[in-house]
Amino acid sequence: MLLELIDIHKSYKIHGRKTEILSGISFSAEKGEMIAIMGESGAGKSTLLNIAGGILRADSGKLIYDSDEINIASKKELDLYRREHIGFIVQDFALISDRDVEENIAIPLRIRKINRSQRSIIISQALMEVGLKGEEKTYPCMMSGGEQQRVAIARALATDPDIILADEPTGSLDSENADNVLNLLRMVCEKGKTVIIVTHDKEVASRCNRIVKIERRRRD
Amino acid sequence: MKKKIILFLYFSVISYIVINVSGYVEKLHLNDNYSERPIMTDSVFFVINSESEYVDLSFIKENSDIDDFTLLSTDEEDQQKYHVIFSKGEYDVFYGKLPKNWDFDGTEQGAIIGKSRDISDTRIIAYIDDDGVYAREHAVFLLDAQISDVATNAIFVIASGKEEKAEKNYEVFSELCKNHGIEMVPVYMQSAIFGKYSENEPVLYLIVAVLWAVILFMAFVSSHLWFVSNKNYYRVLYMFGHEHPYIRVLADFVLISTLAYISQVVIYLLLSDYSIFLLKNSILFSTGVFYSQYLVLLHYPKCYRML
Repeated sequence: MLLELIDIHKSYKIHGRKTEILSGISFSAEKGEMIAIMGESGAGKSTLLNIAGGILRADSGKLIYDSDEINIASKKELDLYRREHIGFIVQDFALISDRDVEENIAIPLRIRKINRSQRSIIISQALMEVGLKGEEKTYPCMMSGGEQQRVAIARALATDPDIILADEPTGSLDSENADNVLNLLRMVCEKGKTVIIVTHDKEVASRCNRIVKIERRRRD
Repeated sequence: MKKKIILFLYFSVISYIVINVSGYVEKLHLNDNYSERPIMTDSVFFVINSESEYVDLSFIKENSDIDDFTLLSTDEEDQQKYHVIFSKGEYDVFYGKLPKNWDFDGTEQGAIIGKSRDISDTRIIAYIDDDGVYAREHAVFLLDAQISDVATNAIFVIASGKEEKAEKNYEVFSELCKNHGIEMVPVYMQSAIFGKYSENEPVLYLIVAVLWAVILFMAFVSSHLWFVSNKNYYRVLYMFGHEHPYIRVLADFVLISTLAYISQVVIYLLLSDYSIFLLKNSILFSTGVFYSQYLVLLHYPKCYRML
């Protein structure tokens, strides 16, 4: 098992009241799997994804990566876990508008302190994988939504993570671009990466190996 | 990088304007106690006394070791007889009007500089007119003749309504003093504008307070915009495992503010317009910017975590 979340609890304070979003959720993903997480709004899909990615800390439970338990109380350990093993894709692409494609993809590489010449090679390869070779100097605002999401995928792939976490990756795209992005994610998956997608879209979910449904159950 | 440069320039320009304006306003308020140079014994002081009704000499008293000097001043323009202030010993405030029957015995040290064209009074040592050249000739003539009798601890008071004229007069006396080996130190005490506002000090305070409020608000808004426009960047840093994205935000702010502050100081040094209240204002402004940024950051403590 590449990733395991065991008995995850997470609650937020909403209007001063503690509301439990995830209560004892367990979830696992195999290497090379493409999983869709579905559920109604507010069910905690994104929260679960962010806990899986180490962005949010669960109140309790275990996060196990490749048989090693990640200490969720340690910010440093979570930072390292994200840096080394996780690639993120989000609905709004999260590209930096005043930086060109190359600079956007370089951000996670810089965080990992990869030198310039190596960065250049990695960026070229990542762009080739997503079909945007030659667009290094293009700014995100000059690209279509589909292309921007492909840049975001290239950025997520640049550090060669084992797990790609995608939060509504096709939510802002038309059907054609959504199809391209899903094909791309499928291709990534076939290369041995684990892809976990949070989506509302049944069409997207149907393209995955497995669907995990989260039901909304809040206890105040 | 382009954004940083733009923000840097923005802070520099804004702070330059702010410091000048606030410094000017403050100068109007503070110039009773404002001197560009330290006062030293054995110096000749030159006071620009612009249309003011009185000169507060307590400042000189407090800031110098002169305890025995002569101040000679003039009365109003249309008076034929000069009124002279003379003091040895204790004093607080000197008013520019002395009894007309005051007896000047000629042994006192100092100089009289007046507005009136009437120089018939033999006690006049020097005379400056509103007209410039004419006055200069007289001043040169009279001072040259008697300056050797003038003690080194003398204050020249020029009753000039305009600062430019006072400066011109300063040049004349400066030249004279130089010829006689006497140092001349300018002391600015009151200005015409201050005179107009002197009865309305609360107005001045209000102007300064409003100005600062506007500036801090602008700094706050600009910090807010800076953060919002870069929020995505900090978010991406966090997403991909940057260890200290929050510190990175702070570091960016501090860097820009520090650069803006350094640029202010450099500007003042280059323009030789450097003075203590401008420095104080630039420090205040920078502190204000830092503080407003701190407030912005307090507003968004978890912003970078929100995906």
